Amino acid sequence: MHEYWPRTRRFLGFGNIGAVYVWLFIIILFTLWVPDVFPTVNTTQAISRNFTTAGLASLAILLPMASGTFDASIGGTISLSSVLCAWLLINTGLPIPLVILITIAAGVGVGLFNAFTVIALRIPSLIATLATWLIADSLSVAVSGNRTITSTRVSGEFTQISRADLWGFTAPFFYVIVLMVLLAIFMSFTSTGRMMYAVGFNPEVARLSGVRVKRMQVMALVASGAIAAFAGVVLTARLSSATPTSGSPYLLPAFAAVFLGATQFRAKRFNAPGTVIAVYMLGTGQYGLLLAGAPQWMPNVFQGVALVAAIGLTQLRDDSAPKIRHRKSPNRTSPPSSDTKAADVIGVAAEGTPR
Amino acid sequence: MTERRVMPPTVQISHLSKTFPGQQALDDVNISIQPAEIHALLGQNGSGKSTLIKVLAGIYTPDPGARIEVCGEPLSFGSPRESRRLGLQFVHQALGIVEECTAVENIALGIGYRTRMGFIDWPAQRLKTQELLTKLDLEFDIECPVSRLRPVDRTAIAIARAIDDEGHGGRLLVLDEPTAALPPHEVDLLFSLVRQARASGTSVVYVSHRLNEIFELADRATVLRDGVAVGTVEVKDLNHDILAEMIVGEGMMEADVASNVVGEVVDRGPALIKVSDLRGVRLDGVDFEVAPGEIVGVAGLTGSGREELAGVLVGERAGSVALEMDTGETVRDPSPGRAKDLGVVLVLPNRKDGAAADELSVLENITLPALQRYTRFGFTDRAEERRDALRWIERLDIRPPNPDRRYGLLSGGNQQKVIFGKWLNLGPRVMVIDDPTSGVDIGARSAIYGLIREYAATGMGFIVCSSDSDDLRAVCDRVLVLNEGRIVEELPREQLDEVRLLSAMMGRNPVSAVADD
Repeated sequence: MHEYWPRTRRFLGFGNIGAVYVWLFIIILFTLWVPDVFPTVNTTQAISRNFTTAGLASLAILLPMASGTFDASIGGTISLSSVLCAWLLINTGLPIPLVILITIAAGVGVGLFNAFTVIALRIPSLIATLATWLIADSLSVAVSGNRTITSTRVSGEFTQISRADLWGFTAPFFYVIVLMVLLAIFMSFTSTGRMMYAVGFNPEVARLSGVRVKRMQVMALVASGAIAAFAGVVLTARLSSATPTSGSPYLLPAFAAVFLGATQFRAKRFNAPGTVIAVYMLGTGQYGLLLAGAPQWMPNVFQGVALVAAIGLTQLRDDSAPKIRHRKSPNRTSPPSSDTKAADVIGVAAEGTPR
Repeated sequence: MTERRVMPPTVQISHLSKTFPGQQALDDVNISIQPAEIHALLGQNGSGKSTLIKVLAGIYTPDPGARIEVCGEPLSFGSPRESRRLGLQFVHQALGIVEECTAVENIALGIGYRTRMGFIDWPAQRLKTQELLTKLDLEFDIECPVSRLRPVDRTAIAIARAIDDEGHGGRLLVLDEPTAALPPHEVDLLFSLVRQARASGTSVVYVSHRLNEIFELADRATVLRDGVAVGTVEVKDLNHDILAEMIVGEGMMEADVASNVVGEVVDRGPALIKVSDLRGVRLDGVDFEVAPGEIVGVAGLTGSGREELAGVLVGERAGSVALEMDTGETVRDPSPGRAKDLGVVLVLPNRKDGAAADELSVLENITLPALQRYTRFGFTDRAEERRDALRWIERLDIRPPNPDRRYGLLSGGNQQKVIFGKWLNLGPRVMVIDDPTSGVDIGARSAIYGLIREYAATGMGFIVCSSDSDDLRAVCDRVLVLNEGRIVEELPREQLDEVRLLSAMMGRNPVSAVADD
């Protein structure tokens, strides 16, 4: 028994799952601050319900991030798919499962378009996918006629996708958990997942090892589009209606959660469980602030501060904090392995302008 | 002793030592550089040349007791700004110019912008640039992006910027292998630039591996060997062979012969791989074969094509090549993945981007190229991966022996072992090795040599490209010497002494013949 203790202790260490401790701290804080409303079953269920779109959005961008590309288009993809799915329900008699499939196929289409601009046209991924976001978001306005659309079909049986519940937790929460588990298994236990990480950390190493770098990135972007589209479907079901550009607010929190999640667990890389922990940690804080009567702008401030604090702390602890791109060390020549300060300056002297 | 020493030396270096952990890079070096002389700094890789330059540039702080005076004024160490203030200027191999900017902008970056009321005074800036270039007898479009200029013009911009720094305006110009990146026909232009600089009163420290350049250009030369300045000599008193021997060290030749006796001529049978029509940026049609169990070295100075041979061979970098294996399989211009399938793998030096991923663990790096082998229905067999990783860790003595450690945290020598492990784990037929021991300590170095010999004994073919003649002499059965993109000489193991190798790489040419008489 006791030989497992060091391993357990390492697993439970602050450096490994710091966000969980911060989460506990937040829970205790609000329990003391607003003891009447915060520590209740209602609050727990509300948090699990209110942050599912954020959770799905975060999981969507996880694969692109792991393979070294940004996907900033998910906000637009969520808007578009949310509206598209409502539009199909209103204007066609297609059965619900088919509507969902078509919507997800549209998300795949957005992913393929991203792949085209990022990989074929070689536009930097952040720029290219921001452009896609803009296009998809505007299309959601076009499809909906710039108004919230709904019908009896949208608010009928279809909402079961989000209303079905188990022990008071609604279905979307389980979507997040199931998707998290699937992604975690994919990323840690399959060779494709390993290759994606390799591509993200160092595309050149991956290429020289015979990994199809572009294929990995296409797969990641397509998966991201599909997951974001699913998030849009769930969003429509949850609200019983679809509002244009409703997905855009999810983009930045998703990045925050993914980066925060990458500070969790020993390997310090983008990962699904860390991301979900981060989503709910941030969500708990935001929700608690609202319950405590903090002003409207407060939750966003909290989110920003939490992100800077979490990543800043890991950066200070060691240099193994998450990186989206492999950072080329300017100089790692022999003797001065212990002389990093000098090495940094050489990088400047050799590559920068003599000054 | 001679007339010109009446003036104080431009730079007087006394008792300069620099110790790195486990290595004495410079050992009590004393050099004086006279006004308006071209002073060559010679030595093999690792002899301390770059350490010396970096001390001058204020990048390294030397061991206590060192003193450097610039025109009588002491230099305080460890500050690039201070070195610059005293008029020490450096043109590194990477020139430090911005490719997308024009000559005007690049020169302004170095010497500072002329401003009028806080705004850049472009007419004045252009005038200044033109003036500088005229001084160097240069003429090209100063308004077009530097990337479109000839290589030598880019070097010229770096030089122009360096010698006309405001203040102490270029008392000393240090050129670090300025010809390495130049095509041969532009070298003469560079020489005239350097002479111009001397004529304008600037002293020049000129670092190069090419002895004929030294004979053509330098007034005096200081030779460093293992961190010790073995002597400063008037270049006109010397010939090619004496200088080569100073660089290599006497007595080396005997030692080599002893180590060479082991080389037995064996009939190795038909070629394992035929490499033909290898071309790249510098490589200009190279053909050779490697027999099973043979270790073929590739030598050449930087710029000879040696540095790109390994990369082009496996599709790491742009070029063209035809490979034919003994199985009859042929491939033109393989991708790295295709080369891998043929059994041809590239082992890069650990400090090069693409060698291995810092953020992945030792295990993940080792199994990455062979991942297919561990895959069952899409999932990796982690137990098997771990077993193999542990085997390589033990076999190659990788420390610490922890497969889950992040690769980036290992020392250089251990990183290099991991890189070998990841490719050996594939069971390749031909291993192409680029600079196997750069940035690797002595212990790991001999381990790597041992490894190469051991696997060669099992029939694996090796192509070892190295800028370090120790590597080549330690393991190679024969060495192909490249010069200007072609094989100019092939040295069998028995003839692999340092002087011979160096002479072949540097190319004996008429200049050294002139110096002989």
